[in-house]
Amino acid sequence: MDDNFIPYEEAYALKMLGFNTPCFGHYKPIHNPDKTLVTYNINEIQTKEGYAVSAILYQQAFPFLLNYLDDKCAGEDVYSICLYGDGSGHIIRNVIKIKECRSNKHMLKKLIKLCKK
Amino acid sequence: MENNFILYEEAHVLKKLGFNAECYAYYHNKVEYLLVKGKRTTNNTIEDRYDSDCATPLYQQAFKFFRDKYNYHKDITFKASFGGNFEYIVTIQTIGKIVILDNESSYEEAELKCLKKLIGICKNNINKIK
Repeated sequence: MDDNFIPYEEAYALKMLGFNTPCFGHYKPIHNPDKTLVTYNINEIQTKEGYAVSAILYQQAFPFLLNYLDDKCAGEDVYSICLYGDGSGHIIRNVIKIKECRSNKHMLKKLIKLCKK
Repeated sequence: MENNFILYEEAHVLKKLGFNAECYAYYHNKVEYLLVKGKRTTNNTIEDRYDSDCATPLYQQAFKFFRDKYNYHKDITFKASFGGNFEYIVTIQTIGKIVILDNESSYEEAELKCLKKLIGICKNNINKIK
């Protein structure tokens, strides 16, 4: 069931990118991020206390990153990102395939990397 | 938060099709949406009461169900280009058949349309078998 959520490291990266929509859970505390607790979004609390990260669903993470990338790349590169049903896929930049991602976790990491560039 | 879950109509069809994975919420009495905090529910373990009650899958759970049980696959291709124009193209691959849906302007719209199409294909195939 917890496979529905993205891993802690990526959730933290999304928080840094500005993700702040309601989630079903959170990772806490920061030094022991193994346990997902079902609760409501606490990003506002995190901002104040800085100790926890929202547990984000893959279906929340991908649209956020695609929108982020869209805002970022306007006027520069042309991206085509194909997400297969299981979250794997491939990334094409300016007609050239730059990455084949074999899993949803791999795809997530690559999209985060692109957004951070 | 509710928009992470599929709608009642689709959830009920998935129940009929055999969806029985653990969910975070369920629909009660067709319209009332209940979030099950701290525990999970399945279509076999809903405590109530009415046939219309059903577990409420996330979109990603619904698509996984179609992949695992029916071998129906969907791709969503996102194209971001100059000037902030972007589009989502949905492709559904079933056995020996590829269906490409119209472009959508949001990921969420693309997912909903895709889910409805998958259900339609599934129902058609079941009717053919009958």
